[in-house]
Amino acid sequence: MSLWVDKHRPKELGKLDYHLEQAAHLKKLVECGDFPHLLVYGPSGAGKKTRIMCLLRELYGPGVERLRIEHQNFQTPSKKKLEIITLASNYHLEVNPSDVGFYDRVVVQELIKTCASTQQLDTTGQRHFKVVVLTEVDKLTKDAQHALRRTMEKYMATCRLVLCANSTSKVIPAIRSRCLGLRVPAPSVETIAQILQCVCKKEGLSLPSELATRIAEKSNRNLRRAILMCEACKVHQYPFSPNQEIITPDWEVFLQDTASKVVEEQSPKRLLEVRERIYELLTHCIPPEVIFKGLLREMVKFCDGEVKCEVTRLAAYHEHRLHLGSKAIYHIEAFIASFMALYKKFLEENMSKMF
Amino acid sequence: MDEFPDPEDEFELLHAQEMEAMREMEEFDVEEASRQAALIPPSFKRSLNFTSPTPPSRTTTSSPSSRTTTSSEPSNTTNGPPLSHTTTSQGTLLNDGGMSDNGVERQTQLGGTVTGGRKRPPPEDDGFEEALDILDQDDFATHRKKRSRPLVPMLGLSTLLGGQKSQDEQDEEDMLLIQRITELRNSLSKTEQHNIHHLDLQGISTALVNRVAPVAPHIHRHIPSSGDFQAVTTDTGRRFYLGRLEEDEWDARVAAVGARMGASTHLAVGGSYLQLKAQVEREQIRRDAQLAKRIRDEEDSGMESGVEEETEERESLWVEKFKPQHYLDLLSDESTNRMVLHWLKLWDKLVFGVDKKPKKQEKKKKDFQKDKFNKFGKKFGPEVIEELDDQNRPMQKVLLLAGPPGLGKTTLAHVLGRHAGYHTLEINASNDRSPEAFRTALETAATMRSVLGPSPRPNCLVMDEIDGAPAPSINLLVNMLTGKDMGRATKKGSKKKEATVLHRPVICICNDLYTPALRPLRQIALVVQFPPTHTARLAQRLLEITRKRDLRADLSVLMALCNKTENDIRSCLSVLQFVRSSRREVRLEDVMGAAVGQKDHQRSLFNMWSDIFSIPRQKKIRRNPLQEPLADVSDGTLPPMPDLNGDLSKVGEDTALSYRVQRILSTTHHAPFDKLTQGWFHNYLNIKTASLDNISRGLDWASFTDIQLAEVGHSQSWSLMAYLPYACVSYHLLFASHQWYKIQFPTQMNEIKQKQTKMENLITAMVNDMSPKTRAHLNPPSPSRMTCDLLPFLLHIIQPNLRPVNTQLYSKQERADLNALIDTMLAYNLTYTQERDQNGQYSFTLDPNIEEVVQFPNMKSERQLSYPMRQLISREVELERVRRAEARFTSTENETSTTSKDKRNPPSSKPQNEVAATANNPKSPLPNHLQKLQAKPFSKPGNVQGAVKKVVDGEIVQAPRDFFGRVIENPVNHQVKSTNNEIVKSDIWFRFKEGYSNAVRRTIRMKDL
Repeated sequence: MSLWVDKHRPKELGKLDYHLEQAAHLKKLVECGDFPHLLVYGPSGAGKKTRIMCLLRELYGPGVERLRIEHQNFQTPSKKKLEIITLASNYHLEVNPSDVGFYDRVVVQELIKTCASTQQLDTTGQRHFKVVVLTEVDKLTKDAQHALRRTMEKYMATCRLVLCANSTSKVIPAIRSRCLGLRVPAPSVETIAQILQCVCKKEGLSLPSELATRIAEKSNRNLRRAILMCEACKVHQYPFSPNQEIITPDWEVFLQDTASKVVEEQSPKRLLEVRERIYELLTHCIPPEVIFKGLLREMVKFCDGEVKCEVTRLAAYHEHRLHLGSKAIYHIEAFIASFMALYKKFLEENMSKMF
Repeated sequence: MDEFPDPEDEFELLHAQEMEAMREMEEFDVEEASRQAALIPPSFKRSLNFTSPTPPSRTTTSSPSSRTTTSSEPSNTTNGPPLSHTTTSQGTLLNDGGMSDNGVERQTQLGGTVTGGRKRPPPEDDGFEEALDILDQDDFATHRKKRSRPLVPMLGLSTLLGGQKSQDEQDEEDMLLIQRITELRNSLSKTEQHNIHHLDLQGISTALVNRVAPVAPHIHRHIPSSGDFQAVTTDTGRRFYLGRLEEDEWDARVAAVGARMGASTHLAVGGSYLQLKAQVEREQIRRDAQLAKRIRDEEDSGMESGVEEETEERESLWVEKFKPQHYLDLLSDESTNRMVLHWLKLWDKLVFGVDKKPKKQEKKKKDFQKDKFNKFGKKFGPEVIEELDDQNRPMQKVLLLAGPPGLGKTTLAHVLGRHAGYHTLEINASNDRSPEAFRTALETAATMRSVLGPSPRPNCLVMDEIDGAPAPSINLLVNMLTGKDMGRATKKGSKKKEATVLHRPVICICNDLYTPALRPLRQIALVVQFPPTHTARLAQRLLEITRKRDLRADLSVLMALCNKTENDIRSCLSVLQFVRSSRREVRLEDVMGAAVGQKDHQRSLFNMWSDIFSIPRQKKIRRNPLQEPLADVSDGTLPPMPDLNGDLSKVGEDTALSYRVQRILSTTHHAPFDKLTQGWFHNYLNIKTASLDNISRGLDWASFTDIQLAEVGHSQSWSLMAYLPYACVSYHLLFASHQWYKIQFPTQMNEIKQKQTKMENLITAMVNDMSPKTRAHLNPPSPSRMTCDLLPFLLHIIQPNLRPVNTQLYSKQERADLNALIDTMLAYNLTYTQERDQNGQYSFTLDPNIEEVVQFPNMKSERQLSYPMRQLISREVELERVRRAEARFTSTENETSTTSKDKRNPPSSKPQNEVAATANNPKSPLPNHLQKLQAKPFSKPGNVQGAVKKVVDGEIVQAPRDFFGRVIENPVNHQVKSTNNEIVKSDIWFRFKEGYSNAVRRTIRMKDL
């Protein structure tokens, strides 16, 4: 537990660093003895999971932190054997049903039902219900979500669900209406810088405020990333200097290079080169959405106002199709090709205007 | 036998002369007979006597309907032809008729009455029939005018004899029939008497019937023992054999009757006999034809009165019939034939013991072709290795013929096998092909030879359809061929050792050469790919066959047929035979309409891709007349395209846009679109001419296809598949060019997929064994999130700057850093493991190797820890892991083990016996390692300070004693005891050696580390 991210993670609701009002609300919620199903959503690195763990601790005390990993086995109706890893304490169970992909419905039906339908034996414990934490709810299939909505109602007496998602747009309204939504926004740059300072102080290091702000900006308001960056910087060079190089992950650099290659030249040959690079990114488990985002961010820098809109529209269009389809490379390449065509036309028009 | 001829022989001897004459007559002019036979159905032309006296035959009742209709003219058709020159020859004729089996009965009939045969009413009932006969015999002398009288007794008899038909209805029917018959007969006899000069057929026949003995019946239920016969099957499935009479014999009989009639009656009145005879014949033919027609209508070809040819055709398929019998008949490619034959001939030395040189000369005499081949052997068959191995077998032990179906591979194998002097033994898919069955087949083939036949020949094994055989069988075959099958053979006994090596040629035949099971066979075999037969050659052969079979066919039509079936000889012949069965002419429509050759019409993906990427050339398509019908077919299955349909009919220019669209639609409408799109995606950027606009449009289609496929897969709505080919059309329109590009198979996507899975597995492996606390905060621990956020930084963090010195020299701060690092690595389940790279150099790599996941090629390389640092970290991680495990163990163990501790570790005052006792006592919960130590009691007590283990050992077993037998208390022992206790508590045991050798040893505890 010695990454700073883990070491300095607040464990109690009272020790949270930001969104204090929300933390107070949560605390009150727990204090009144019962609470509804929760849907915690927000961008990654905003502290959703930290908040959930704090909440659980508030509910059950430090026993929640005695976690164990369990391997659960299932059989689908088509006799396919599945294994899913769950994280459990005596009081709660955490599952990521989308681990099994297409078969998540089975997980929801079997695992959660069996867990939820059993009463808590030790009633001397604080609560009469257990908590099931489901992560990546936005990646659940529609089937699984529909399976979930009934379970949520039926086992209200014995079980509370805490759903964790990045965005509610893919959660069906039926589930959204059954939950108390809890939005965890990304912390502001200032907050992040502050937290970084705080962490460094705890580590006995002095962090220049410029560097803290730079890291915070670079992290895209992702607190986890910010702290990791900070630690990496420390490993790289200590004592800190205000303008030292902040380590960026390889894939980001690679993606930026790819985008600049696209802008540099527009030809089938270049497209082929870019394809190789996209493949490379995909094999390194970079999600295609992130690739879209990264590409767009770079490309837009080179465009004029109107073209900017058009490029963004294209990116959105192709990203949407990506979600409908299954082979990411087609859609990414389609976006790149259409950008190339657009950009080339734009350049040619500009050239003709110049002369 | 000579002395005592059995009755049949005797009979034959007696009538030898007559029989010979008969045979001669039969042989006479078969053609004439058959010609006539074509005109008149033999069953009616030939004399039909339904008398089958002895067994009350149901046969005669089998077609009553026909007979009731004929009964209006009772005797002429159903009665036998007028018979016999003299009474003496009657017997002969009878035997000729082939009724020897019931000859006796007939004799009595003959002897008894002339009118016996006349009584051929529709024999509804055999009992009844017999009754009639009996009645006849009773009053055969009475005139026919009295016929009507015996009705009552007949009835009585019929009820008596034909017990099974006791129903009144039946009887009534019978009665009616009989009445009708008798009436008719009466009227006939009257006409005969009154208008004898006005002779007509009825008259004649009745007269004949009345006067002449019943002709030897020509319908048999069994194959007649002598004479020609014609097999006929009724619609009820019964089979009759009609005896055949030759035309002139018939004439002779008629003449004889005529003569007799002339003599006895007033026949000679009008005209010459010949005229009359001609008249009668004409009449008879006319009636027979009518009858035949009627009956055919009624029975609807139940009585197969067909032409001889047709039955012959039914017997054998043309494919069988026109199979090549000799080498020269073979249609397949000449060089292939020669290569195969050459290979077969290589076995001559081993099989026939003939040396090569004399064989050559022999061949020269025998077959010019082969000789030619030998001369140009190198040129024609470069693949055949002429050398023989030490066992005189050819280097290539087996021949593997491969090619599409219907080219004559099996035929070739058989013909050549025979040609080379072998007896071919075929094993095909219909046989059992388990390894055991294979073994027996192979062994029998190799060791036995057929004893039947004029000259016993060695076997040549032909293994047909080997691509369907199971892999173990093929492996066995390979082993036997290469002689590797010794392991099993020796087990069975050394006798068999010889038998397992094949000494006979084996020819394997397959359609698909690249079946995985065939891989071992391919390596040792002489692989002959069967080239397709030349269309012209095949068409020529087909023409010959059609000529022979009296089928009119044009060479161009046959060529078209060959084209359509892709030179599949078998299907060509089948089509022709099919056409021949209904018509005598093959037209182009027949060929086009036949559902041949299209069923298996599959285009490979490469063909489709090249279709997509190329604009068709005019010439190429004109040559293929099938293209248009194909397009029509596809048009039916696809959504209508009105604007294109109009164009298609008048497509003269094949390069027209509409035609191209149709072509792509038709070629791709059953394609695996997934692969098709992948292939396009893989290859389209090689098209240099494509503009960026086109590319983006094409990619739009590709992503659209992807969405469609995903939707189809998700919602199972297969109707969406109908729209997929249009994407191919747009690819074609956007990217097709006249230039030729090399199309590559899209392997890249799969490779990428594999790589990605590998990476994901790496991360999952890491995540799965992570400590639960760390895992809880990875939200969510999916691979993609990890690579984005955590891993790149983690990789930096776990590679801090550490001084490459001994850890004991570290400052406090450094020490803390190191500990933090170790902590992190453990939390994230990372460590370094030693690996050896290709150059043989050792290196420490991360395990799981997330470096691979995080790092990209061509990026500035990361700062890497040095080898010793990694080694150090690796060691520290291991130690820390052990320490933690121990800590966890002791923390849990403490509560449970405290009670048993005292018992287990006896006080030092009474050392050895106690321990030994506890060790021997199975109940004592000793840790495993202690019990083991107990097992080897000999060890030097002095060797204490080295390893803890040995100390314990020695101390327990042989404590040193002084002169008086008292135990010497070794001061070290106490020390050891104390450590002993602690060690004994845990299952884990370490012997730690510091330094590079065993020279200096000292005891180190885990907690000191």
